[in-house]
Amino acid sequence: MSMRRGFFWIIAIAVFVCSVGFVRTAYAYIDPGTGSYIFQILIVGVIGGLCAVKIFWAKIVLFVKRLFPGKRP
Amino acid sequence: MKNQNRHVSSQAAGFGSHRTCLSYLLLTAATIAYLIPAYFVYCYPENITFDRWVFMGVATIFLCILWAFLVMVYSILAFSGARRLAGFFALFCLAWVFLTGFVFPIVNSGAMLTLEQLGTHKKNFIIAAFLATALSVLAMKSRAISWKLPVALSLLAPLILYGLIAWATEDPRNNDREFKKAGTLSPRDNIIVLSFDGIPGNIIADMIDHQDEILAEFKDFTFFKEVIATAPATHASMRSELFGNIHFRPIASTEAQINKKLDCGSLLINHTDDNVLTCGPYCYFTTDKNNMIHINRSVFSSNKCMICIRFLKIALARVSTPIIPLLADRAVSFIAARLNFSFPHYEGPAWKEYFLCDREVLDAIIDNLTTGTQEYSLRYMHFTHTHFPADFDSEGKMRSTSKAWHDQNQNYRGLYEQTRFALRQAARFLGRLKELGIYDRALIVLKSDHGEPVTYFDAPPYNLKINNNPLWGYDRYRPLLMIKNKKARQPAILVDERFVTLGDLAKTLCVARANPRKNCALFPGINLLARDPVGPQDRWVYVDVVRDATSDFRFDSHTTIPVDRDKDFLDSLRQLNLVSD
Repeated sequence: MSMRRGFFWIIAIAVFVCSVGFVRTAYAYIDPGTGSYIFQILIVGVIGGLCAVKIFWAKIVLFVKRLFPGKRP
Repeated sequence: MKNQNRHVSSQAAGFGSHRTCLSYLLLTAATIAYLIPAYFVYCYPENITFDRWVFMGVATIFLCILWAFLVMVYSILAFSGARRLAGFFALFCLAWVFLTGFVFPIVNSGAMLTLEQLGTHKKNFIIAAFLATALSVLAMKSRAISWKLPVALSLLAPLILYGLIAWATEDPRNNDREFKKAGTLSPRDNIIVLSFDGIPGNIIADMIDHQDEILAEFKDFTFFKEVIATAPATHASMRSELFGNIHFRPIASTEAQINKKLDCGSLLINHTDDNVLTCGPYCYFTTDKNNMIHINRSVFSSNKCMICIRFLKIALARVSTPIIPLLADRAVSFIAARLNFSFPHYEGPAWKEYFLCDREVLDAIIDNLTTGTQEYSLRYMHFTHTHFPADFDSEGKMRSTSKAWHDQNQNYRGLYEQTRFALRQAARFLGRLKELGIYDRALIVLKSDHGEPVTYFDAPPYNLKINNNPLWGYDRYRPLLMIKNKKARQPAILVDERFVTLGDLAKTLCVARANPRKNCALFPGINLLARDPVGPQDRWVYVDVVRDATSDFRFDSHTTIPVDRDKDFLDSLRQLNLVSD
């Protein structure tokens, strides 16, 4: 799996988990203008975090490799 | 080399290839058709009455039409020389739909309203326009994301939607099992709460005054003429009914927080020794899923496609203001008229269409009434087909496929006829209990959760508005409450004129259950089946009222006032300057 595809799946799974995991309370009538700010903040946070991970991925990998210098074949 | 050329030409054009732009437009359409409806499904799972496959089909057709429209606009721009503008258009559409669909909806928040009544949320409109423009300009200056990502997301979107619909709805094949479960009562001891949404108690009072023959079936009941719903919105009303006359406002300021803080485990409906089943919104307060009646209402929908189209129109309004779906409606009506083609459809608001099938649900439960082996059974069942607008005639025929009939019956007369039908259904329920020989072994509560909006009434006090709210008035606080105790036999219906509340049912039914393990002191209120004097702790009741003309049915947009049982309810409202003509 390429890095880009992996990134896509992480975002997709995060969106799905957030969608079903944080059910807001709403009753009896569909309100088209409804806003779940917790949900929105979470989505933005998760996607922002993933983007940050993507941007610094090379540095993260380098950092991990430095932690375990002898493990490489 | 070819790729290089394409890249160079894209760069020169300012933004990715046509393929990339088309993939962005596809994702835009998929977001409106699948992802925003998925968001609503997760927000309002209780209102999902559509068939999942029909919905997926309708949503896919909707996606195709939407995508075709967007591609047409894009093509006109791209092939008329405005290549950069076309790229900007594709990016802007995507950014706009994500921003308005999930963060800044540009339709005003509101419920119990039709799309026509909802205005545009101007602040969100400006924010979304600014952010979408900024994001599009920034994106045009950076390297375009591969077309594969939007296409992959578009393909994932229906899976998310289907997953959520499947999560929100039951397998329709289980309905028969659920009806049998709901209908199996104790041969010895039963408490049955039969609740109809929105039936005004004053209509029953008028029926008693006019000696309507339908009430002969309810002669063993006591009618509580002065009952009020302290929190006259379905969920809040049921919370009071189950927890008693509690002042909820100090517990928390929002409905969600209150629900978290209240201990539903103490409720009668969550008593593990009993054979308890809840149906409809009572399920919110039921802790054990096995004690809920899970019904897939989609099988009863007479017009499955239209329900799905109305749902998608709500999603479209969220990103395009209510004007666009209404314009689309007009266009379709115009074309249908030109082609001399008409199809019957429900003329009421979209949200009511989801409730209509409760009529069949109740009929199915009545048909399945039988006796089992349990010592005791408790049923709390709420049905929403009687919610306004008035759609059924007194024979139970749904008449709102006729616009003329629908428009002519949104008044007292329409409510009266619909109420007669609800009473017919209740009478059929009682008839089945008599056939099964358990009528005398059942305490039956026939009730509603609240009255109706002021617009249905011409005469005071029922047409009095509260805080100048266009819908919320005095009648909203006047629900139906009738109780028949076990073994009650009397020549005619009794009228009790005490000031009582639906919240008093918590204490009443707890005492009636007579379970030594149940502490009925937990439920503030009076016992409706006794004539005990009202103690000082029960003298005050706490009534939710709309804050202003813009408030809707939600607890969060209300304030709470204490009302003295020793005084007339309307006088109390007048003293606080809450009512107006």
